Amino acid sequence: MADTLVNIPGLTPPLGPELGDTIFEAPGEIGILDEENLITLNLGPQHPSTHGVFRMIMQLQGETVISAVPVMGYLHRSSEKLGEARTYVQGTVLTDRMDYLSPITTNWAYAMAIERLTGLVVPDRAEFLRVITGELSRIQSHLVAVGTFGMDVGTYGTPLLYALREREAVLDLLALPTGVRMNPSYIRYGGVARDAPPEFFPQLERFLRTFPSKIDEYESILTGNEVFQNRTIGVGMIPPEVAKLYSVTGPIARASGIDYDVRRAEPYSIYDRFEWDVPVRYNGDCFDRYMIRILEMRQSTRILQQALDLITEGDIRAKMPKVLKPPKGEAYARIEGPKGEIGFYLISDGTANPYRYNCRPPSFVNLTCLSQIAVGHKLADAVVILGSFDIVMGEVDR
Amino acid sequence: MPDYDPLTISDEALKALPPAERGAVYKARAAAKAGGAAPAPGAPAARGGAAPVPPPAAPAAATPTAAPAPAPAAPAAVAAPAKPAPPKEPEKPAQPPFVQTVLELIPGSTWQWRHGYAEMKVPREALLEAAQTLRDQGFDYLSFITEVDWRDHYELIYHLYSYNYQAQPLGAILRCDLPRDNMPEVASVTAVWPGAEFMEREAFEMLGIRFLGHPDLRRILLPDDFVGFPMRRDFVTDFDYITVKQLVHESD
Repeated sequence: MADTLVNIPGLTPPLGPELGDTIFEAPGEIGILDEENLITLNLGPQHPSTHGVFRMIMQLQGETVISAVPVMGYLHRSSEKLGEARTYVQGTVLTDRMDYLSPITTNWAYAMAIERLTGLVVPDRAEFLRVITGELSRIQSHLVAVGTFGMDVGTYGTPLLYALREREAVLDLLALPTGVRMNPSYIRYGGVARDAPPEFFPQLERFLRTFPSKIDEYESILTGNEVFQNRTIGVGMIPPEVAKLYSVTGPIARASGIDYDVRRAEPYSIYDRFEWDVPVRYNGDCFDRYMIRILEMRQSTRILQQALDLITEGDIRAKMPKVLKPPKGEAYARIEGPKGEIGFYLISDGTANPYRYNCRPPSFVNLTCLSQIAVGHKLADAVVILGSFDIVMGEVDR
Repeated sequence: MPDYDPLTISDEALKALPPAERGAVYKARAAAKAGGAAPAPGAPAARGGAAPVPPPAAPAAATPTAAPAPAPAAPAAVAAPAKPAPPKEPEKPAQPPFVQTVLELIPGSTWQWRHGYAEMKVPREALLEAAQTLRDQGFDYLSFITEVDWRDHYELIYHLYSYNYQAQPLGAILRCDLPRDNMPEVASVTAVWPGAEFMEREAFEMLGIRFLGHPDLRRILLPDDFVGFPMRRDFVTDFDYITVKQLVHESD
């Protein structure tokens, strides 16, 4: 069968240069890869710049990355196997632990897959609460991404502290409807877990009034900063063709000029009722990935404002049996999470447990192209590139 | 999206529905009896005029039913039940051109609609050919690979979309059965979609499927000394695995 494989030019994944190959030591400076200059560096798994327990085995010549092999699995908790042994509502709890910076979006994808299996109809108010909490989690996740990205570039914490200040506000807001700050299991099949208390909406409005000026603050400390620009512009370029080959989604794809957002490509929930834009930038470097997150936070604020104006009273949960036993079948549902497309593939065999519980984690798939992109950069830039990918190890390892 | 009209559904068909949907039908009938359109109080004006249309995503001309996406259409059906009934599910569109291409090219392949996606099943020898055909038809985005153990055989499920969603709004599912051998072999699609690299590595370590032509087929999530393929249905969890390791470690 192997001879049926067709080599498409340009598609064979390079495994790094070999000894004797011509390499770029520095921009414009060409050298030959030889054995005595080659250093193997183990970065991680416990390293502040790897955002969790991610490990890269790098080969360096001087400071130039010759090859980077990602190693993962240090946070593997066998969520898919656990999901098969639990009921559908218990499976929601596992989704919280995947993307722990934005658990509500993962809840959402899982709930949508079950709703597609069973044909449950979600009430209007629940859809609004899903959009509101979902967009708040997107803001929260992007805040951490922007803040820690500043750390990776070497800003020594100021943007991170600014970002965490607003993240606290968002977490306090989210704690009102969900009851907790982390791992809320808020979005469940058929609706949401609890209704938002009345004081939630004025507080959200107050937050939305001040938040755009806070984004301006991050921009004033990072976007126009010359050092920040030097570290990020032109670093880690992902051309759109490469991004497409490697199934890249989310802010990384949109920074490379791919206008792809699941909220537009396959609209779900009630996103078609709001007016908002998909920010796209075209250079595909670390700076653009950072800018996309800033712009998306502004768009989320727009969506939240409209959702706040349009939300109505009503049920928050569809009528459901106590123990859900979906009919036999299979369903794939996907949503746009803060890191990219989150998908869930569920197979029901008619019992109370899913036969197959499969998650498409966006960070995991986005990481596929990392080793390609990091090659040829300096070691310090490889850290910046990894930071601009905004990975969450809970989701990569599941 | 229910494929029946809640106001004219026959009693037999109603009994066959799951309870949740039956409730929705009763609600719709009661609302119709109460007379007139009675949407939820203070419903957003935006929804008023448009009537319950299928999600605007649905690529209008090409495939009206292609994306029934239950979630978006659902609230309309509940909130405005007294409207002249949600639109009848139009005739299933004829098979999309890419399905026809695959069916013509690969003998023994079948297809059907599943939740708005065109699902094709091909024999395993033709998997790579089907993948290439689909990519040439615009499916340049491999979303994910799901590996399933059906107890008597394995199955690989590829979810495909197009980055150019205006031109190709449909999603496609490519499936292929594998025999339940110890290490079934199948062609890797990394030559077609290099993004499949990690997905295939995961399928390899979870289910023990050998992908021919994969550039770097190794374990990815589990420890290197792990024995067995945990997502197989006959896998027995070895509780000693962790405890024994710990004991050995502590005795050092």
